[in-house]
Amino acid sequence: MPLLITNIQRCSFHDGPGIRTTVFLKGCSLRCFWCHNPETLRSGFELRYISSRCIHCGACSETCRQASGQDCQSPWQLVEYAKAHDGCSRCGQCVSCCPSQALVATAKAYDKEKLLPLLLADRPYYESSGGGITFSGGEPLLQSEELAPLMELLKAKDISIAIDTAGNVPWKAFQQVLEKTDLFLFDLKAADPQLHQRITGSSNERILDNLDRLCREKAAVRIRIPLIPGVNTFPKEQEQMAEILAKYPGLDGVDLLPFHRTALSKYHQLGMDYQAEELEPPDSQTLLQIEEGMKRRLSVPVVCRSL
Amino acid sequence: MKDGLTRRVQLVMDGISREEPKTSTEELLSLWRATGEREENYALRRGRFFRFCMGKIETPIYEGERIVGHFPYKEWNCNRCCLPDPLTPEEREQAFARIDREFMARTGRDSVPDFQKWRDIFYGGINFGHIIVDYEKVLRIGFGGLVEEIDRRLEESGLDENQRCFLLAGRETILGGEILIQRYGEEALRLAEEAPSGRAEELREIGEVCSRIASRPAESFWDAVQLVWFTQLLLEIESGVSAFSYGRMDQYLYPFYKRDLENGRLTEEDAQELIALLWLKNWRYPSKMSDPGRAVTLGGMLPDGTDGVNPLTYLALNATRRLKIFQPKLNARIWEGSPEEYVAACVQTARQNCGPMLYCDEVSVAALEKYGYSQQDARNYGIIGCYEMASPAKECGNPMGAAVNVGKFLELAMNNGAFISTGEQIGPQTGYLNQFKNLEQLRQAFQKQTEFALDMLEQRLLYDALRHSLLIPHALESILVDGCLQSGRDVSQFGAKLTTVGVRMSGLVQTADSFTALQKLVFQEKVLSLERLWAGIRTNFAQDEVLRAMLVNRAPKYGNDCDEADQMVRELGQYLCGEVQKRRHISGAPLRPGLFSFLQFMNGERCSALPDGHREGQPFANGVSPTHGVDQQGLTAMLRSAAKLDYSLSNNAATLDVKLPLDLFSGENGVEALSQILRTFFREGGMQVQLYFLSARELREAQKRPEEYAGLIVRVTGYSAYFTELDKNLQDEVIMRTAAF
Repeated sequence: MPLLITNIQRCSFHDGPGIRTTVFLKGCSLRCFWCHNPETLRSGFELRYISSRCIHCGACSETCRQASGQDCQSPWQLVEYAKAHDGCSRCGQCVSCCPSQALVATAKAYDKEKLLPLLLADRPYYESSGGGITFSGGEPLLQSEELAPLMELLKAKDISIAIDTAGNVPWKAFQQVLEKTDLFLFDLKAADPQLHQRITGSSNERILDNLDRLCREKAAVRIRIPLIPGVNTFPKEQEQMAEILAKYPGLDGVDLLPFHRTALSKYHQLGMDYQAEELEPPDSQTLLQIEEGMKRRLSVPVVCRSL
Repeated sequence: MKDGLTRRVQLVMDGISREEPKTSTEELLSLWRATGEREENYALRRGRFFRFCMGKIETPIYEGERIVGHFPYKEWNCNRCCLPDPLTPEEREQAFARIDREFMARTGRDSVPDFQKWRDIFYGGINFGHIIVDYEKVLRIGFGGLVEEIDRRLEESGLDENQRCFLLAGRETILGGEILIQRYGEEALRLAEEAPSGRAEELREIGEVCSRIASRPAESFWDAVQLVWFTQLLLEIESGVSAFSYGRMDQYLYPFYKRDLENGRLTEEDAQELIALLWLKNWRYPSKMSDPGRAVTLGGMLPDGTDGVNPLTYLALNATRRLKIFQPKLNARIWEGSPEEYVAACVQTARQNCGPMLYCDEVSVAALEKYGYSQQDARNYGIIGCYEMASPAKECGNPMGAAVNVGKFLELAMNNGAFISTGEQIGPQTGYLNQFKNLEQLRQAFQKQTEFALDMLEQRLLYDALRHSLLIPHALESILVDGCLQSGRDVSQFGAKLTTVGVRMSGLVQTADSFTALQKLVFQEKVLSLERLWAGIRTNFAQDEVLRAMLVNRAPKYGNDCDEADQMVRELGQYLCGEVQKRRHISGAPLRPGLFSFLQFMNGERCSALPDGHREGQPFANGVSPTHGVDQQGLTAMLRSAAKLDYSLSNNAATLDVKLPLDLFSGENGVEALSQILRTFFREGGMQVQLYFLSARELREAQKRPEEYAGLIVRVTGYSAYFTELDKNLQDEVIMRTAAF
């Protein structure tokens, strides 16, 4: 089975140590309302319309009309039509006929053989900087079955691998990649199970269980906490998260990732509503308090990243 | 004292805007005429005139200065000799007629071609300055030592009249220099009489420095810095302000620094201040000329194969970083032996957008050796003007002497040798785009047009060289470059050890991407017909935006680490550099190919639409940089594309502009990451990088509210300028490139 990938981002500095290539895998088992990568959420075929690139030639609508008989009046309607699942055959002709790359499919399927040279291209840069590959998403471990053999190939070339996971997968998925992973970037969105359920659509029981197991397996784990104002930035919630993390003195560190709104245009392009549209990024005072609090409670390095 | 920005430095910097030159060249000339001095030999006449002027021009010393010497002339022009030309109109006309006859005799032509017709395709011209003279020697033997050398040469037998006059002209010019330095010393002593006590001592010390170095070698670090500045000033007074470059300053000043520091005569802070004051002498002078191209070369491998970074290297980088000024222009050489700390200091300085430009020694040295430099000379290269590599004190390489618009070769190849916009037939008739059966046929047409045009350029450069040699001698510059003293000939008469011309090419990437687009979309995938493409090109895509979108998006582009596109640029670059180097300067030396452009000159705006989607009137990207906006795979992919090119032939320069958002590499980790990226690029085979930090938002704001962004510096094709002083088109270009990142 090929891997379903939304993007391969080279020269990335924010997804693990050194210079990395980050592979975004499609599909996610959480629905965090502030998600920065909405194109990775669903597993199926989707269209994304980047209107700033469009030259309004009408080729997409015309092609679809001929291929399916559907009378979409605009690329927006094509996006909606593809999403609605009722009739769109996912033939992809609307995308391939677009001359300006304004209408694109959110994901592409790659065989591991095809992926390998792309991932090895920046190898000299990984080597000089202590970087490597990061699999992110979406939830990359939803595709652990397909990921494992690819990681095998990368390990044979001595490439360092990080996995950026939200942890909401069966432990079996972790087992498949554990030996081949140099670093887990493990997201923690909330400590309180009900809060977690409310903001992500799932409880955190399995996530915390997986974290515990990973740590017991002595895997290298770095925690990433998104700081969503009014959601998980309260002192109580921060305290609870710190309490959980304090159990694991072997953590590589904790990254605090303040919410930002840069994903807004992606939601529009996907014809999706962005529930965090009105949300303000946390102010520096709050960030400082949170960072200090975490540092006080934890013995591992705490870094607040600002974008 | 904070990192070299002493109160004095600030005081001098604040004063710069008020220092306008006052000497009038017209007045000097009438004074000169009144003396009745008449010398038949033009070079000698110029030498005498120069000496005369040095006794007359102003010698202002400004508040707080410790390094003195000010450009004197109200009328200055970077491309014309600042000293008025004492030829009469009749003499000038006769000289031109002689040149025309010699050109025709050499080429077998019965007239001089109308080179104006070729102005959109190539540019040749007389290129003053653009040289690195022997500063090391000036410091070692002083002006007096130079005069002695000339006198010894004059005593030798077998000199003809021209050689004798050349040497005498050199002698006059250097004596003129001595006079000027003495006069500055006297002025300092005069001012000391009236100055308050602290300043009076300083002025007396300035007086002592000047009187010491007027004819003798430099003794102290202060002497050395001051003598370097006087030499630079005299060169620019003699030949015009035009990219006289300093070469490896951290090397030739270092012995003085080390000795004084050991003797307790100098502190590091004092050295930092003197460097900063020398920098300020180069800043915004003359007047507001924003880039006179005074390049300083730092670090890098030494001729013996060891590394040259020393404490002065850091003082130089620090001066630029703290002063935030882009003259002198810093160039940093990097190789495997460079310390990490040095590369990090380069990156930190570059974040101010004041340079340095970065060079890979291994690649550059190999290219220079391939051109014919000895290993020692190649390892000792310095940078001239924007990015051009040269051997200090050994050559008159005219690295900016010629420019070629490669896109225009393709325009002619598509249109049967005629310009598309005007229909004017310019090259050989090689068929129309819609008639070619395969890519090979177009390639052949392209090669015919290229070779025809380059032959014409070779003749143009011959013509320029003849004019240069008959009209404008540069005695001081010549005495300070290897070969002229021995040959008894001026640099403009090819007396230097090496004389040639650099040919910079723009549009390489757009032309190669055009071939790639044709190969892919027309001949392989057959999704476009040649008829449709040809119609689109002729109409500048006015009726067919779909076509243009396909050309831009459906064909691979250089800059994305895609072998298909990158290979095309590599091959085309090899071909073009090879063709340039096949052609020769009048001196017999091969021309030197370079892959860069200067400002927008000879760029895409003078080229028709091209099959890579280039629109008529749009600028090309600089050098080996990808077309604006097409590199979409990130920095490492762009660098990998650039590292695939063959730089062994582009021994003039090959520039890659790397635009980075300001916030991307912030903090210590950012500097470290970027340093590693650059070193890796060089290890992979990259030659030059120019870093450029900014955000598009910042620039749009600056465009709307120029008054609030007056200090914003941008770098454009090797040229730093205040953004708000650029014209709107250039501003838009800069914004476009930033937004595309």
